[in-house]
Amino acid sequence: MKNMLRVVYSSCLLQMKQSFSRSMFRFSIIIYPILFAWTMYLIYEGQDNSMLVSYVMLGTAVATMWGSISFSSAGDIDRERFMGALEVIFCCPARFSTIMMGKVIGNTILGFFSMVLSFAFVIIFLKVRFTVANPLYFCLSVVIGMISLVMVAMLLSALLAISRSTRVIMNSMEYPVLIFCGTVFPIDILPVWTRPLSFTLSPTYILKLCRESIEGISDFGVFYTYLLGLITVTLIYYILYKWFYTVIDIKARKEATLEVV
Amino acid sequence: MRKFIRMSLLSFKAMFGWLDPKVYVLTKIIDPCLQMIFYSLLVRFTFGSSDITPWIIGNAFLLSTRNAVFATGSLLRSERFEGTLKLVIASPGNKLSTFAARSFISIFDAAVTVVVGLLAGIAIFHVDLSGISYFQFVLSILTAMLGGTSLGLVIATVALVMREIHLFLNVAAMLLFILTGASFPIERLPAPARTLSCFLPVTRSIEASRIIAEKGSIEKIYILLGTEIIISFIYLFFAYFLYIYFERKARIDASLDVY
Repeated sequence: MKNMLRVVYSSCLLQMKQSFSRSMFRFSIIIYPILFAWTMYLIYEGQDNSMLVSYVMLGTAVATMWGSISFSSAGDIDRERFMGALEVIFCCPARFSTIMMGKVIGNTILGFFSMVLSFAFVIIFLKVRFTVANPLYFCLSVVIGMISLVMVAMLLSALLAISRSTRVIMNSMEYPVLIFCGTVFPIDILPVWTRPLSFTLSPTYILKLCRESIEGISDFGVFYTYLLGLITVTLIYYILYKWFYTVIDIKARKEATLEVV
Repeated sequence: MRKFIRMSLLSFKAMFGWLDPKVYVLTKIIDPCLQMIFYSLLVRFTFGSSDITPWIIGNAFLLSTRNAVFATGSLLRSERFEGTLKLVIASPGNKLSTFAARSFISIFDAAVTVVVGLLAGIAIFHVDLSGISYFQFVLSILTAMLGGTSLGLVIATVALVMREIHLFLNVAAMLLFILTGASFPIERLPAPARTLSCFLPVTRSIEASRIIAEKGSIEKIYILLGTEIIISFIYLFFAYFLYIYFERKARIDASLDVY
């Protein structure tokens, strides 16, 4: 256990250092949240404060968190492959999933910084009033939400480890999540048939929980239902990621495609 | 000319995924459609029940311009990562012709993306483009792509002295989104940003396409498109001079094969 934690810590530290050396990552966690928040603010200009908090502030925060955690973690696979290090990481004595967990946690810490930055920008420069009616529930939602996003990132990294089109698939996943999770508009405006899809994605629950706790929870039954939903999908992601990592372990050795660029 | 076309096609096929149709479909058809749907739903929600046709047109133009900017902007970066940048620079061939050939197909390819985006708009959001002048509309699309490509080339030249060009490309794409008035009225921008939007390519093409869709003044359409072409050529010349400057700097600093 101690050794595993040491691997996670080293991998996390190295990941943060490597990520910050890349200009694209600096864009994703510093410039993108600011520009995205400004764009959303200009689109939502003239709407009341609660709309600005719900869609400009929270929407930007979740969109950037999603981007920096999920995409960066999936993109890491692609980078390792391009540098010829993927097969080395895969075959080293520490488990591949443990190393990836460290990388994902590193991205999560930086993603959290990005979320705080977007909040600060919206409050300070765009003068949006931000008060949380139920701070305890808000913090709880954020913490469980981040754990859920870590599981998503692990699941994506497993899925994309065996695909050569990692970057393309990764980029094509951005807008479906923004659309179906109701990041910058409510999911109620989408056709009803898309609703089940929305509720298989954890950002939908994260946004609903955060919005409820900011505005004030009127019905705790509904709040706990969403919380239970978030925990359930997170557990499903966890089971799937564990299973996928076992599958790719066999598949990668059998097909020998890890180093194929 | 045959060599120019052959080089255009070959580099396009190799660099933008035509060797794998799945990649092409994902990046050039599915992703633009999803982007279009996202922004159209957003403006429909924020602007209420008002006609969102102008915003759908604006977004269709913009997402393809993004393609044009990224396609041309990544040219030199790709060469660097494949280890061929120093060979291209050292070769006796005309570099302007080489890079023009590589960007050439991007103009038409990005125009295809506009059509895909507009078809998505027509199918999902019932955008009405019946009775418009298709000649003027195609002209406005090609003008916008020329503008996007010229901006992409300016950014591409920076790749001669920098390893990671994606920071510039992404900032440029976001600024185009904010400053061209594709998704919200330009009047909402602060005064300095409004001034900056006048100097950017694509702004006038989007405005012209909206006038075409509303069947407005023909004279105004041609003035806007004419100005856009002039601005695009200014960017192209700027890209050329920047290229000369950065090529010299890259040779002096010996940074061509740093990656």
